[in-house]
Amino acid sequence: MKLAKTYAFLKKDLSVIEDALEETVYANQPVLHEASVQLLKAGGKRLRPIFVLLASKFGEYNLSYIKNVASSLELIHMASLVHDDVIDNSNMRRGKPTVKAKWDNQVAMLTGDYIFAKALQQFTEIQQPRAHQILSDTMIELTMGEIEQIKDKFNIEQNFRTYLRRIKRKTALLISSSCQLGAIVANTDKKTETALYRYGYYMGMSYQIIDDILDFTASEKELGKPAGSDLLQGNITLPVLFAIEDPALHKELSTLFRNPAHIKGETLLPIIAKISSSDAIKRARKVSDMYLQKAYDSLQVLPNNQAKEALENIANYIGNRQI
Amino acid sequence: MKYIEVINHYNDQIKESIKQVYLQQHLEQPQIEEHKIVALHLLAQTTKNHENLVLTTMLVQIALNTHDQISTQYEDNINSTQQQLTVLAGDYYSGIYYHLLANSNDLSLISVLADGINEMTQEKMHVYYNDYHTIKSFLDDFEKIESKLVIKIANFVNKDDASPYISKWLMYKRIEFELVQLSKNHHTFFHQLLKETVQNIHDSNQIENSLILCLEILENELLKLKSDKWMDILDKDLDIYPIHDKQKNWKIMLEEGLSQ
Repeated sequence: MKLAKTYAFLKKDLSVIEDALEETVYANQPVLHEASVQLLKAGGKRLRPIFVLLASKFGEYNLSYIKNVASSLELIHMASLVHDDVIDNSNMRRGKPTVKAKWDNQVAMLTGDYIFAKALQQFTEIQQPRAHQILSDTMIELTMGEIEQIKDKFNIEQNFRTYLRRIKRKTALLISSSCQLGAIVANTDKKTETALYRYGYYMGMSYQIIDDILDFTASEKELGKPAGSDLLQGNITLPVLFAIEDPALHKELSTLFRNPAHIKGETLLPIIAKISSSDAIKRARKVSDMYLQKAYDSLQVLPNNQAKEALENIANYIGNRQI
Repeated sequence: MKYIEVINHYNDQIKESIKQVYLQQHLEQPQIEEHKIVALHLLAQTTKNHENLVLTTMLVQIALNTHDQISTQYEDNINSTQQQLTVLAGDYYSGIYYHLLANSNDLSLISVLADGINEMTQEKMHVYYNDYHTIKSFLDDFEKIESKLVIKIANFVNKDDASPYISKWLMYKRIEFELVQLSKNHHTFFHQLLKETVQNIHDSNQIENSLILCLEILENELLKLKSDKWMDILDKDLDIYPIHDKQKNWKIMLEEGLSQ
């Protein structure tokens, strides 16, 4: 099933969010405006707004209020991506030139700061202090996750727990917060809020693990960036952690990582091939499935409705992304 | 409290708020623009939660200044770690500002500062894409960037009357700050911007000369505002950034030349 079909009943509401996004990033300064709109038009699944809307369906669904959360979270996600491209020195994202590639690093930094500020301005329409505490905690954790990622680069002695903690901060928390904030602004009961938070957290963990697997198994065309990019950047993801349990591969990678400055894409190709064909992919997939199962389980306490069905379908879609 | 005590007090608070071991190991402590602490303190001292107001505004300023350090050309080598962490440090400091205000339930200040960031990024982009024939026209535009957050706070605490004087005073102090950096051979974003956007400014000597000229211009502009009550509150000669003797002498020489 196509992802969009699972939440087709939100189509009208999502188009309201899309308008809100475009309106929010409007800038008088032409370059800033163009860079922000380019990011917006680059697409993306709008997963965070979708999670906000679906979570809100379990409470008092007031779109004109909820849209402030949905669009702010997407903007925060976008702002972090534009800064990430400076960090990773990436020229392409989703098959299109990044802001830093089309203009330069300074424009990318300013665009990220601008979008972040616009997101916060929009979010202050929400007058519930707890919502702000959750979002601000999430944003700090998100940055901490990125700092941890740099700290752990080219370090093959890191363990499973380090990896999980990192992807929790880097990806899962913004998704779990999207679900939780959707619940909070719709004034759901505490039990519903917790269930949605957990669902988002487990989904986020599964989503990132699958992203990390796809980095080895998908083609450049599918990824919109060269396969094996994570490893080239020195990021040790779950497939790598499993694969280097093989002492020979551990030794090979450890030798290469001693001189990170000299690593080129082609040097890594044989290692990428070994990881792709090892059982590491299957084992990583199993961990992702465990998180997915937990995501399904979290939904059990919720009443049966269209939103619950959509959340289950999204989990299903995430779990079956082409590996 | 004497201004030096005010500066030390907030310097300590800022450093405590942004403490992060890994960033501290790899990056220099961010530059704190102490003249802005003084201005913010004087504007906010009679308001409730004034400490939070000064602290969070300074955190936003530091976050944006940190991002200014990202060079246009990416250094494609392993030392880029410092550049990567600089991006994240700015994001981290922004996160702390939001975190502090969210936890003190100060939603209106979150919005005011976010509005300040939004306007400041637009002003910065305007300056980057401009080509200035004179230092004066550059100065006029840069003053908007320099004073943006403090003026937002002046409006927030209903002291709009302070804006014209404070704006010039901040720019005056900023130039003194930049002259001090130059004498220490620290090349800043401001120096880079001067070289990139103002015609006939290409090296450190020219930057120094043009900054001294800027001080002269601003001194005259501040004098024109002599009836302003803020002139008595914020002294132009407040000795926050002691500029180099050579630079002072240069100013005197200029004046002597004029008198002859």
